[in-house]
Amino acid sequence: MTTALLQPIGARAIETARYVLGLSRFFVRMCVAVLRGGTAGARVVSETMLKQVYFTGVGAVPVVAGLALIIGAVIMLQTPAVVSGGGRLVGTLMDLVIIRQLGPLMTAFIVIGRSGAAITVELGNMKVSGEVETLESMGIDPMRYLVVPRMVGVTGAVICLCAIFDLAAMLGGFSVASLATDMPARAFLQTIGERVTVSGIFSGLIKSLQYGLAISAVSTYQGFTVRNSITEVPQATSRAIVHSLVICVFINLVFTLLFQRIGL
Amino acid sequence: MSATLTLTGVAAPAVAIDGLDLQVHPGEVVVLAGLDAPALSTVIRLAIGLASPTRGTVTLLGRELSTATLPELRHLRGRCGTLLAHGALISNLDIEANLGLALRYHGQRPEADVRSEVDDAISRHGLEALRHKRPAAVRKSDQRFVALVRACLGTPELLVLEEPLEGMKTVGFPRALAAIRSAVERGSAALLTTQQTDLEHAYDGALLQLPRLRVLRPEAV
Repeated sequence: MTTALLQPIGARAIETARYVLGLSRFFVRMCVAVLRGGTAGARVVSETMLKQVYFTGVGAVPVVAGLALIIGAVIMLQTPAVVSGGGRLVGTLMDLVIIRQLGPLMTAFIVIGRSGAAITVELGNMKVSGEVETLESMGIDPMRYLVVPRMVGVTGAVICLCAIFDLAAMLGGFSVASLATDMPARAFLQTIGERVTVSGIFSGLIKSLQYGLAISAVSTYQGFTVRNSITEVPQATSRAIVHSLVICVFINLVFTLLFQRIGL
Repeated sequence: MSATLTLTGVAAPAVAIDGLDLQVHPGEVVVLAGLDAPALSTVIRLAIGLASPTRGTVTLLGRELSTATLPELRHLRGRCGTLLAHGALISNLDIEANLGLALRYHGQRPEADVRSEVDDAISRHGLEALRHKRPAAVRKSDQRFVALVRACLGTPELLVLEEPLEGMKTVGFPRALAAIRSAVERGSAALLTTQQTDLEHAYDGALLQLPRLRVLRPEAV
C-alpha cells in the first residue's frame, strides 16, 4: 500500500531531477559556447543574433511599453485613494513595485509568451524536419549557430525591455498625476527623484539578466527535446512556457531575498 | 596516395551491415548501390561521423573518427559536401543564404568572394527565380536540387551524397548531374549511394555518366 503510494512520487522526483540535471548541463554548454567565442561562423552567428534581438527586443517594444503605461497609470490612480498621504509614497511604490518587481517580471512574462514559445516551436520544427542534423552534417555547431544567438538576443532584449518598461510605467504614472489626480506633476517628479534608487534599478536589471538567461535556456532546451514527431512540438512549447514562468518566479524569490540580505 | 575515405570492417548490426570495407580515393567517384535505405543512410552517417560503428574503423581525410573530438569532427565535415536523404534546407533562410551558409560559417574568405561564388552557382544552375524565396515556397524537388548544389559549392574534398538523383525528375537528371560533375571536375572525390540496382535504367542512366566512376554492389560489399 505504502509502496504503491510512494512509487509515483519517487518516479516523479527522479523525472524532475533528471530534467533539472539535463537543463543545467545544457545551460553550462550554452555558457561555454558563448564564452569560448572563436571565429568559426562569427559572421552568420552575428547575423542570426541581430535577427533575434530585432524579433525579441524591437518587436516587443509596443507591447511592453503599452502594458507598462497602463500599469503605471493604474498604480498612480490607486495610490492616492488607498494610501493615506499617498503622494509621498508614489515614488516608493514605483521603486518597490515597478522597478524591483513588476518591471523585470512582466517583461519576462511577455518575452516568454512572445519569443520563448516561438523559439521552442522553431527549434522543434527544425529538429523534426532534419535541419539540425543537416547543420551537423555541414560541420555547423547547432549550439553555436542556433542557441548562442538566441541566448544573447533574448537576454539583451529582456534587459533593454525592462528599462523601457520602467520608463513607460513612470510616464503612465506621470500622465495620470498631471491629468486625473490632484497630485501636481512637480510633486510626482520630486517623489520619483527622491525614492527611486540606483540600487533599485540595478537590482531590476540583474533580475532581468537572470530571466533572459533562464528563458533562452529553457526555450532552446525544450526545442531540442523534440525527436521525431511534429506532435511533440506543442507539448514541448507548453512545457517551455510553464517551466520558464516557474523558474522566473523562483529566480525572483531567490534574488529578492538575496538583495534584501545584502541591503541592495 | 592515401584514401579520402576508408571504412574498414565496419559493422552496424541495427541495419545489417557487417564487415563493410570501402575506400574512396582522391578524384574518384564511388557509387554504393543496391542496399536498402536504412543501410545506405547509415553508411553515409558513418562516413561523416554522425553515427559510430559497433566494430571497425572509419578514416575521413586522414583522421580516424573514433578518436576525433567533436570540434575536429565538425572541421572535417566542413571540408566535405554532404547531402542527406531529406536534403533539408534551413527554413528561416532564403535560397541564396542557404547556398552560402557553410561557406560563410567555415570560410575565412571575404564576403565578396562568397557572394560571387553563390551568384555564380545561382546563374549556372538556373536558380535565379528562387534566389530570394524561402524553402517553404519552393517545390520539394527544387529544395533537394538546391541542397545538392549547396553540397557541391566551394571546394569540398569529398562529396557524400545520399540518393542524389532521387526526386530530381522534374528538375532534370542532367541538371542535377551537372552540379555533381562540376565539383568532381574541380577535384572532389565522391561517395554516392542509391537503392537502385539497375543503374543503366535508373535515372535514365545518369549516374553512369559520372567520370572516374566505380560502382560497389551489395555482393561486393
